[in-house]
Amino acid sequence: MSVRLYDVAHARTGDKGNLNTIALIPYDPAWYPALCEAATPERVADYLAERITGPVTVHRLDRLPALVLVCARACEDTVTTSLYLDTHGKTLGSVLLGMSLEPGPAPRPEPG
Amino acid sequence: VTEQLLYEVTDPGAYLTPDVTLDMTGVAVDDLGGDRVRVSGARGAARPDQLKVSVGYRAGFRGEGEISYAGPGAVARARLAGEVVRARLGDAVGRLRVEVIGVDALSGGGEASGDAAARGGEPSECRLRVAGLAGDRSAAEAVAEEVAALYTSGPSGGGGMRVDTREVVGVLSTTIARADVETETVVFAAEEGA
Repeated sequence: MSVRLYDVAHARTGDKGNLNTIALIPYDPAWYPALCEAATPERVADYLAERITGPVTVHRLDRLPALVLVCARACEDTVTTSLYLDTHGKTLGSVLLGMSLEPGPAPRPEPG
Repeated sequence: VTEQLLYEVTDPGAYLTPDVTLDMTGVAVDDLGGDRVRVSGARGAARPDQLKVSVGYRAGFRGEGEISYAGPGAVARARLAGEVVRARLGDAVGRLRVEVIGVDALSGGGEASGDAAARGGEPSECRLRVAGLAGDRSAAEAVAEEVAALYTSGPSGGGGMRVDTREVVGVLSTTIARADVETETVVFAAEEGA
């Protein structure tokens, strides 16, 4: 069974307009390099493709250590105008924790 | 502490506040024990000349409807119901979202919902949700009406229908020069004994 982000890190999601910020923080700093390797803009955008339509930017904070992922939703998908049940996108951090560290077949739930 | 530090930060190297531009790329959090931590390494740069302004605008009306289905074939009936609503609405609503949700609202945690594997992984119940955004109220209300119609004219056994239509205020952000901001303070006070 592959290691998921959930097994080694916790996440907190914030929102600004049509952006979501996901702070990805390892429980043990020893896992930080693996997180940096796994949470590439391409993989994060692909894993969250149900909701994230724009580019993903990854900021490294090596001393904490932590990653900040800035993810763009569609321009009409803002907290007041969204048609999603979770208008803020607050749950996206938890969704991302289901991603496996290694690329390849991941235990990803099928989007509805 | 780290979660809160980074909450809603879109650029850790230049987090804009009215009083300072914060660079937190060198921040460290050290555990001092006894439920205490030390946060160090923050650097500041000149405060921004531009201030953030959030502007509200009338974004139209959102119509929503939900209805639940239980038992064998629940998901298939919910999906079919969603297709019926989508087809009947056609182009009447600008944006439309159809989704299926649910775990244990109808069948409880007992035998009726117990063994997902025996059902081939199919949920024992689910809830259809349809949401649409339209420019005028009547188009948004059509979403609610179509979901309500599923009670009697949709797939078998729908229940727990809820609908809602309301106006939507959108918010967009821009900036304004600090020098152009005039401040004024107005105090509203309740009368004595009120």
